Amino acid sequence: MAEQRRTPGAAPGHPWPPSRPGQWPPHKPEYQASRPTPVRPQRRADASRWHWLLFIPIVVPLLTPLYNRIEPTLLGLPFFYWCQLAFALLASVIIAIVHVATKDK
Amino acid sequence: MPTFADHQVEFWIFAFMFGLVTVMGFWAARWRRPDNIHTLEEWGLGGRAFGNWVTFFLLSGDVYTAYTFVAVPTLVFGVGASGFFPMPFLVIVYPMLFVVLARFWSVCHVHGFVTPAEFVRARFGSRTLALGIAMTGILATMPYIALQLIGIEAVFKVMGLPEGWPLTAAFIVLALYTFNSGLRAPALISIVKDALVLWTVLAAFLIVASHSGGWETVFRVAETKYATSPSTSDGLLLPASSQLNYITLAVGSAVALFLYPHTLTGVLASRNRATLRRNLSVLPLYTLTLGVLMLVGFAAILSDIQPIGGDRNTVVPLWFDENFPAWSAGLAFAAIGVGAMVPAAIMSIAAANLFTRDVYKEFIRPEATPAEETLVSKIASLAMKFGAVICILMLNTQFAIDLQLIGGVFVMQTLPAVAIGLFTAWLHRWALIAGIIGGLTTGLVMLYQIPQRGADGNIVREHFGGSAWPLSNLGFDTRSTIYVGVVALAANLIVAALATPLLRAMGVPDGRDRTREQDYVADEGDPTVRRMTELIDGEPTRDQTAAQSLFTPTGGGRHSL
Repeated sequence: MAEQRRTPGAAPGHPWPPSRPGQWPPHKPEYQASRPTPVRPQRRADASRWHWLLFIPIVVPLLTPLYNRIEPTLLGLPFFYWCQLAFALLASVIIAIVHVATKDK
Repeated sequence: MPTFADHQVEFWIFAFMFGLVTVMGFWAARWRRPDNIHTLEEWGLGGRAFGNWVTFFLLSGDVYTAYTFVAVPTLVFGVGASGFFPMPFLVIVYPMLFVVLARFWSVCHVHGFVTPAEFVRARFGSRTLALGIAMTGILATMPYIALQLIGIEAVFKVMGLPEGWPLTAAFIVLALYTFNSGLRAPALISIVKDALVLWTVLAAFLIVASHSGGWETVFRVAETKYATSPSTSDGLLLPASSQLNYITLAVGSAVALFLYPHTLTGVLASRNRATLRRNLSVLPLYTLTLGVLMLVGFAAILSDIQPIGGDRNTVVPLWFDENFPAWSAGLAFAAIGVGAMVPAAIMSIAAANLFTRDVYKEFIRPEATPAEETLVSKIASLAMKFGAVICILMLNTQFAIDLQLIGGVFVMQTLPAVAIGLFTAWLHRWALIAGIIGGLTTGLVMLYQIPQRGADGNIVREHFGGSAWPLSNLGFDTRSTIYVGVVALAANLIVAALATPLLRAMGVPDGRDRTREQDYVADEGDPTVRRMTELIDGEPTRDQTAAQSLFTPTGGGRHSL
């Protein structure tokens, strides 16, 4: 519906969508003219709030102080190494979540 | 010094896998045979119809190259933690790509683009800018192909083969089936490559884990080695002065990977947006294989590997040779060999497409037919590969590595036009050109200032000795370094952003943007996607009405919000 509000047919005096007989509530052009609908910046068709989640696997692997340590070790691997290997799993899971959540857009 | 007589088993297993791959490479031309392979869409993009699995194999074959498998563990072998940067690099790159690539796929499918430079030409209406992008891409890709040869050569050295002809023979075979089958060849071969890599990685991990002491001993021995070495930048953890370089190298490499033409070629070959996005969520797991191979760098310290003739790229193959049973070492060598074939083929196809669509068709023969385009591309791909072989055999290896280093910094400079261009056409075309020139100059000057230091800290070479630029050049009292590419890109972005309003104020006209917002979200099945590719390929449109409806908006229902 948001698409329609921006349709070029919406010139002053020709309200869009046009009133149809029997429509309720009826259109009140004067009222609309005095309070124009706020112009929102046009959102991209593939934009989604879910994409913010992707910042986690981008930012966390770059925070070196977080994992620049030896302990705790896993299978003899220092934390520095196995933690960064684990980030790959993290990225995979988060991208999968975002993909599923935004699939139908 | 390894001899050929000791490596009979390894050699014959390698030769068998190589033969298998060759047969598959030639047979690939018949795989999902199209009516007409003589179009660039078929030869250069495999008909743009690869599904989930093939796209996975193609992209993983593209990103995780033989050179990566050989050179990165070697880096870890030498410096420890600082060499581990490909791990964060190949993790953060996928969430970045997730947002960008689907839009790139859509706009290229609607308009029938085969290369990123074609997109830039349509988006910013500038042939000069597009030519710049294409030339940057070709220049950056050529040394990258040469590096794949270095990977194979390391394996040949360990098997005791002579230098020169085996490498040339391998690449002639590769060049022939790429010529014959196009992108279908690497796509099919990459299945073998991935199976071999998976086997090698599992075997490596288990062999170290089951040795006496396991990984714990490996890291204890490595720690002692770094502690006794005179260098201060090595160690099991990052020294404070290396952290900035580690982060910027990861970010810079991620940006460069997206912009390399061969990555984008792999992307464009996928069937639809969902295939692409699904693959991007699985590919981080492939990074784990590289992670384990990097740990082999530490294991090589325990095995006390001595590189053949000082060539450090032989460290990983030598470790396989020493620790694997002969037949398994043969498979590991084949993994590196086939792992070099796949990206070398894709890279030469990508560079050839850039030449055909953005130089030949744009500037030399605009009236070229699809069949002629394909022939030009095939010949260009041969030229790329022979150029790489000659570069390795005639010039020295170090030269190829230096060129690749510069190429990575170069290709990053196309980010404002290619990646930012996917979201906005705000930047002015001449501002983008100025930005690229600014970025390239900054990058070259900084690389020139970096000396190469030997293990004892003495300067071996004055210039082009690496990509870590010391911040002390700016007068800061610090040992920290930063990756050149990131600084050059920042300079590029600043120039482009400042020049844009300036050029508009001066009244320099903008280029005409031939793309529309809905092009960036179009998907398989949308009317514009199919028809446009048919048109660009020169296939006769069945009726005029279909051609006329090209520019009607695509159905609003599916993508309207």
